Amino acid sequence: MEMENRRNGRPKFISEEEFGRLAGFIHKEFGIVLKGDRKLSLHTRLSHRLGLLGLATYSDYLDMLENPRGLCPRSDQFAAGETNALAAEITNNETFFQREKSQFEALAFFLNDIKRRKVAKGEDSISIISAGCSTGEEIYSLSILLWDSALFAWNWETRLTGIDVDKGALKKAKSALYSNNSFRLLNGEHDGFLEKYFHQEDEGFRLKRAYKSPVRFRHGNLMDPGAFEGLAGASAIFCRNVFIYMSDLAIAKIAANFHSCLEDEGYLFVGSTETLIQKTDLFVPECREGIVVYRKAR
Amino acid sequence: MSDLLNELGACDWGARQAGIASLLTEPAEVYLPRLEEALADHADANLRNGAMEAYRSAGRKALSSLIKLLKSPDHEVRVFAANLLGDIGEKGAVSQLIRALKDPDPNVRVASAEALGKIGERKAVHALGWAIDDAWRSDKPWPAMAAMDALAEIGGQDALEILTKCVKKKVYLEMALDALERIGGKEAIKAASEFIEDKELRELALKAIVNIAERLGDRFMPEYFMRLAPMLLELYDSPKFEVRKAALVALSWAEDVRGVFALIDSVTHEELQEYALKGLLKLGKKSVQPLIDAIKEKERAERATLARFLSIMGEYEALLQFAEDPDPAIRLEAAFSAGKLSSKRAAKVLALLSKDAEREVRAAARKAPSQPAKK
Repeated sequence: MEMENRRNGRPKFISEEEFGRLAGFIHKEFGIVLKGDRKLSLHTRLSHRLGLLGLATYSDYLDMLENPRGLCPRSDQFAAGETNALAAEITNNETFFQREKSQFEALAFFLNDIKRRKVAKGEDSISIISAGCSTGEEIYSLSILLWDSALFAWNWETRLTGIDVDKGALKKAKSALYSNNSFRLLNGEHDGFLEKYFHQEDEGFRLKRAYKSPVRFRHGNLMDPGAFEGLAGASAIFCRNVFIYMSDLAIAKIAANFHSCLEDEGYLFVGSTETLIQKTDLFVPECREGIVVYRKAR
Repeated sequence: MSDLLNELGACDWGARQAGIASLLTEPAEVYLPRLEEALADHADANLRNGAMEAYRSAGRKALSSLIKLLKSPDHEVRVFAANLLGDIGEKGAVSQLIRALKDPDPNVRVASAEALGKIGERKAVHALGWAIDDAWRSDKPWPAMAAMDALAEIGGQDALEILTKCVKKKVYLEMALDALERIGGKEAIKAASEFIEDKELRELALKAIVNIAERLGDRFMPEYFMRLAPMLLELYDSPKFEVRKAALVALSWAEDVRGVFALIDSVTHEELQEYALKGLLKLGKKSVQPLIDAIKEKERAERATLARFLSIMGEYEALLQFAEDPDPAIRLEAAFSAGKLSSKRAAKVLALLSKDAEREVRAAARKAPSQPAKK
């Protein structure tokens, strides 16, 4: 049976015990909670990984993942690399430009205050982070917003950073090349938006250089403080539709990382269906400009 | 002692907790009369709140004091006493709480019903049924709502029968359906099924049926939902996610090809994906062509997941046509599929993909067996 599975490039269907082990590993590594029975979804998303590695069962796959310094017995691939591949398969890359526009509008309103504060402190740089940036639509939307505000145009250093655990998504983000799918919420403003900010190419729409150049991407796990190294003093962090998949424990860890990274007066934006209430005491919600935004607790 | 009561009414949480801890070190016959006074003190809301916290902390020691307060001339005190008896959860208070269901004040009746629900004692079920009838007669629905909620908490066959009767009264219907959903069981499904085709109530009924069936680990016969497929497709467009989810789950059980596009669309949704894939798997061959068409839509999200799913279904031949797809994840599936077939076309696909720009696709094509097994 094992040989047959390997030759067919598909592993055996995931057992209940293997699902429990895999769900535990995913929670430990990425903070993501798999709710309910997700065996068929996981098998659909992961079986090709086992096929590539020549592994017949999910137990073999887990043995490999849990021994990150080891070498996969049936391929030349290191397990550490496989953890990244797993992250790419289980994270959701669903995002698009100007998603939840009201939050961008609120930040646009706060930018004046941010600038005033920075000028008073003699600072000349602004940093904004998209945590869980996926394929980059959010951080580029922020770049567009910052540019259009014209508040930080002259003699200002603007640093926009996208962080994600999925290397494949980051590769796409760096290319800044998008299909229509990434613009699906621009009701009625579609053409003007594309024309203003993108060049049309054969493969899709590429963001103009001015909006792309202040943006940097880094590979990192939001639960790991190392992912935020060198980013202290950020004025705003956007982390939307990430917490919905995570356990309270993981949310608390990530909130602590955001807390160290954000300046005292900074703003944390989470998805409109998410909340940090009763999950951390490091941030307090404030109702501003018609949305809920989180500020560091004093 | 009076200092302790001062601390009990402190605004500061820490001071109040310290006051409660210190008070409870005294004998019960010393502190309970003081707590009774504090609970009746209309002038000091902080002291009242502190007294309630102290009662909760005292637990069963406070039982007799609270039972006494259920007969207080002050209706507010009676409400507090009923609430606290529910919080403490002592079965010793059930008879008195049942009597309080006849209290002249409707708020006391509501609090007593809620407390009985929290305590969860089955002998309260018939009294709660009586409370619902009484509320119906007196045209005051709130005690009935609280009683239905309590019945859902207590559960059991008797509670179910009462709730099933409530469903027939329009004013109670929504609450009763919600209670039936919480109580669960096949009888509850049967009761909710009566409303599945009612325009106004079908969303609630469907949600109840699907949630109960899921908890039971039980699945309806496909025919049950198959006849409802047009309605389910309509509900799948609901702006309410819970309704959409219930419709999709029902469609995944229906084994009706009319649901195939909703199932394919839902593969992109994190929370619906498992149901969608199971539904597609049940449709078997009937889902293959719609899946192929969906993979051909280049703008569609999760195309690679759909291709992997086709492969899991064993549709290797169908995947060969994607050997030149722009998405390497889909070309990878074409390579795996070609490795499972022994046709000339498969060999051509393997030859093409063994020179693919993507390392993993090349590896899959090159590692394919030289003498592939027949499908």
